[in-house]
Amino acid sequence: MSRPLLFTLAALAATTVPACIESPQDPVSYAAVAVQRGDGTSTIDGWTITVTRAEIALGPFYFCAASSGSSTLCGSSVAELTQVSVVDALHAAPSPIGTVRGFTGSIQSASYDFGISWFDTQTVATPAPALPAGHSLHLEGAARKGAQVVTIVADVDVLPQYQGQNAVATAPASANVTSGATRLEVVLEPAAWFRQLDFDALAAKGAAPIVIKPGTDEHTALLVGLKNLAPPELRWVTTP
Amino acid sequence: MDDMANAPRKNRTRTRVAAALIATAVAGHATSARAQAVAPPTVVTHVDAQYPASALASRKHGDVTLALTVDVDGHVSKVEVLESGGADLDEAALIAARQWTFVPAKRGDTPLASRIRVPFHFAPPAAPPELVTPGKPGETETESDAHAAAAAPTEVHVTGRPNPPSRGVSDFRLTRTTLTAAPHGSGADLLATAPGVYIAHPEGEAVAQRIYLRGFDAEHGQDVELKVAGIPMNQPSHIHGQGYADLNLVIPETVRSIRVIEGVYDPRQGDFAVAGTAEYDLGVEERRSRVKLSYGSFGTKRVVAIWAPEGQAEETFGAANFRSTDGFGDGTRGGTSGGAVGQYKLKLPHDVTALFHLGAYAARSNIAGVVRRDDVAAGRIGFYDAYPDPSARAQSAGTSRTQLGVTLEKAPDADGSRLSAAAWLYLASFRARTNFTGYMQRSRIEPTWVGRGDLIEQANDDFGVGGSVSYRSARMVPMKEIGVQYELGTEVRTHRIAQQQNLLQAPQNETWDRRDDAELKSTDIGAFGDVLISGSKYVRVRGGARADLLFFDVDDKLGNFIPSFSQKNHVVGFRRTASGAAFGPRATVEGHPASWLRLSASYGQGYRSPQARQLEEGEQAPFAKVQSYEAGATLKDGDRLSLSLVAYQTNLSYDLAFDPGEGRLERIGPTTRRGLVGYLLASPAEWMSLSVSATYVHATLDSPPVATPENPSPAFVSGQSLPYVPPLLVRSDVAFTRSIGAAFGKPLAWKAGYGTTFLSSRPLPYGQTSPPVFLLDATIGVRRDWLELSLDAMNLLGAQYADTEYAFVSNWQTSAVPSRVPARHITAGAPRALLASMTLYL
Repeated sequence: MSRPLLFTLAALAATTVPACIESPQDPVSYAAVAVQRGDGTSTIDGWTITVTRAEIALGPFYFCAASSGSSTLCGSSVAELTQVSVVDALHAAPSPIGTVRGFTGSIQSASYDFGISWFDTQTVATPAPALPAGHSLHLEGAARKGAQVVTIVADVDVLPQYQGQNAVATAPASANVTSGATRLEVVLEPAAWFRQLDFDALAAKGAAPIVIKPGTDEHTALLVGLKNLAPPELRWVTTP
Repeated sequence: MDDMANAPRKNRTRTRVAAALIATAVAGHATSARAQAVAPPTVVTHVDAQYPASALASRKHGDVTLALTVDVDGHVSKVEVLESGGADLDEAALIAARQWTFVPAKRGDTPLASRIRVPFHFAPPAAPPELVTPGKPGETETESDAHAAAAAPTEVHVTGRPNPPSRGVSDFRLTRTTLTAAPHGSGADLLATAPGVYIAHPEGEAVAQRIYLRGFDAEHGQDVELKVAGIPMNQPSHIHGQGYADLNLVIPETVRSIRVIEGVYDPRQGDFAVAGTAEYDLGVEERRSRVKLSYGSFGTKRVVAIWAPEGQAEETFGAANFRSTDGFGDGTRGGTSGGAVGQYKLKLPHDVTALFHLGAYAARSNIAGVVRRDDVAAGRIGFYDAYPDPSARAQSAGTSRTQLGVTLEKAPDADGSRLSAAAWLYLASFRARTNFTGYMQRSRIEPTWVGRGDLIEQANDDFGVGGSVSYRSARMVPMKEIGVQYELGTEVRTHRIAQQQNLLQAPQNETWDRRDDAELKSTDIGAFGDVLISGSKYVRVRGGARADLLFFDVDDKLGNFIPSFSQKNHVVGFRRTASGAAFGPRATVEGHPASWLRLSASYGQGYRSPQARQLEEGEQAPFAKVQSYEAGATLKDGDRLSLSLVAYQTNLSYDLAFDPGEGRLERIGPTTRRGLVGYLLASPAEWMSLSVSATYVHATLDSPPVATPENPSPAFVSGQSLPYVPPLLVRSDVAFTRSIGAAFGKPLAWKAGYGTTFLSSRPLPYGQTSPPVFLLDATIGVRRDWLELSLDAMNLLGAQYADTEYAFVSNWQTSAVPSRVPARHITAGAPRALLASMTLYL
């Protein structure tokens, strides 16, 4: 074999050394669960609230590297949970709500819906098929103050404000996901969602159950409770 | 075709012809080389001339003297009848002579094109045709019946074209032998035969090819300086990508050679020479006009007509090319294109030659766009299909370019000096409608408008004019064995560019957002100096420096944009000027410790100009600066084998990457590439030639990507791999040519060849990798005199592969809930395609 040919073979062999590929972010997926905080009771302005039924639609969730999760500042998410689940917020054990898929890295904000979304290509806000009654939240409970009892049945729709935005355009979140050994917990506190209701005014309406529907002041009060006063808390925990 | 050693010798008059050199040096050669004698070509294979049947009745004897032009590959590129023996004898001699092959003429180790006289003597069968072959200089006739004409010294007129001095091991010259081994669908595809180059066509034939070169994802030309017939192809500040260069203007059949410099080591390398430079040399070696008709897969039809009259220089030709195709997939890749290139080389008084060049190209094609890998995997869309969405189906591109150039060159004087001047202009238009992301965009003019489709319309009109002047000195000898020669030159170019970018709503293509509307003026004034110092026959130093001044005037009509929710307190528009200068030294040291070994080391600094629209008022134009280093060796084993090995590194001050959201390039930060290249050229047999290259690169991002409001602290690890760059690229081109006797009294020759491309797994963003790709293209053909039939197969193995792959967010409405996490997208590479061709030589 000639000398140049030997050089050739040696050179070709050398160039087949595999490359070492370094990446700052890797694909990751992990479970998400809904977790109840409290026992479904609370006291507001002397009224003792007992939540007897709380079915809430959760999702989709988008998690962003920027501190603002709005769609205009977070077109590209670090991770997401695109499944829409309806869970019993009073269930004692964590309720699975799907799998978060995305990449490792820092998360500083989130945006999400309560089952009713208004995506870029939709002309109106639309409930997800998973919502049996088409509402984001179905609440039943009673408030007691002495002999007064107010029974409440509420259907709450949490609508995005604009086309292409989530119902909760930006929410605080803080995590640095480094591996799939992680779990997202969405912490719910149903009793706290009633905080903005004026129970004295409701009691004055009579003994019949109060049915709260979209478009009423009571519905707005529940929205404030759900979105602002006691919004779902997002926390990432390391799993063994 | 018979080997000379085995050829039947009976009835043949062999005359060793004394060669007399009347040639002068070839322009561009080192003067030291010019002093060496020219070795004439020697016959490797020959075909006997057949005594024509038409002459049998008269049993006449006759003499025919031909002038053969032997190209640097040793093939006969032109035949002229100097002395006629009658039409039938002339024809017989011409047919035979065209099939001869030679070891080309050489000056030192450098092959040259040459012109030789070859006399034929014809006698009837009882005394079969005689022929005379040129051989070693100085040999005399050995048989008594040799003709007086043959005994006379044979004229060897060296007609070699300028062959610039090498700038290191990575200064590759791709000859037609390599370029034609495998089939190539376009002029751009010819570049794939260069080491470390991969060519992709993700956006069809009306959009420029995408080039990967030695670890650079050069997109549409941002990192590769491209020239065709000396005319710059890169378009500065193009809306679709800085340095956009559409090589579809090149008709593959008219490419004589390509010089590819990988790295920046020549002071003549200007803007966009970041990864390197590729210069297309146009010419038609076989001086016969022809028409080529092709038909193949996906309704592809192609017609090529070439006019190449005998007696003219190879650079003189005319060619036209028309093509239409339905395209593969589900009917979204159809297109039509056409082009014409004409050149005329003219000798003027005072040893001046002029070369006029006119080229034009126009094309329109539909674009299938990208598909998500997860949609393909789930069966929601076919690998080769396009989304059924109206916005996806509305993708298309249309382009045209007309260019004119003239080069004047004072023929090399005996002292090696040369004066040349060139001028060119072009007019190029571009309009593309592409949608990479589906439905993600929101209008900036009316922020509540959203979800109308991300069909980005880009338009770019560019009028460019420029020229160059250079002077190369005579060779000076300041002391014994020290030779010095210098060259000074200047290059200028100026452009007037109008460009817009809008969002359209399909299918009516209503405009629903305006993103850019600008008029740009740019001027580049460059100057270089280059010195060659030859210390002895063992050492040479070449190098110099280049400086460029760039000036920009930007009329950004949408600058200082006022959103609809803000109070209007000024008029929209932002006019600004900026300028900057770039300077870069380049040098190559070359040693020849043995006749079979050449060692070299090179260093150079190059630059890429910025996109003018991104400049601020008074900003010192931030050139992207590149530093190239390499060291290597070339080993030669006679004429049969050449092996080059090189280790290289390039550091780029800021790199650009494709942003699918905007459909154009955006900054990503500084990058480094380190790698090795092996390049083998061999001719194991006279009927076989091969070219094999392997390029390994480790490309890394050197600092965190540019922060954005969306991602204020981008993730980064030291040594982070640069996405989309294949670490290993192996390319081979193998050609076979051989005579297989005669058919119906005419010689028959066949050719076959193949090209293989292996791309290793490519890193993608977010820790993902693309699968490796192996492609095989092959051709086979047979030629009998004026008729040639061939069959080309592209992707013969039917590999299903991604031509390009990206990672970004999209919404193609294939899921109920849209994803906002970056996902893998591909543009499908072409499946197996066959193309049958018939060429008629006139």
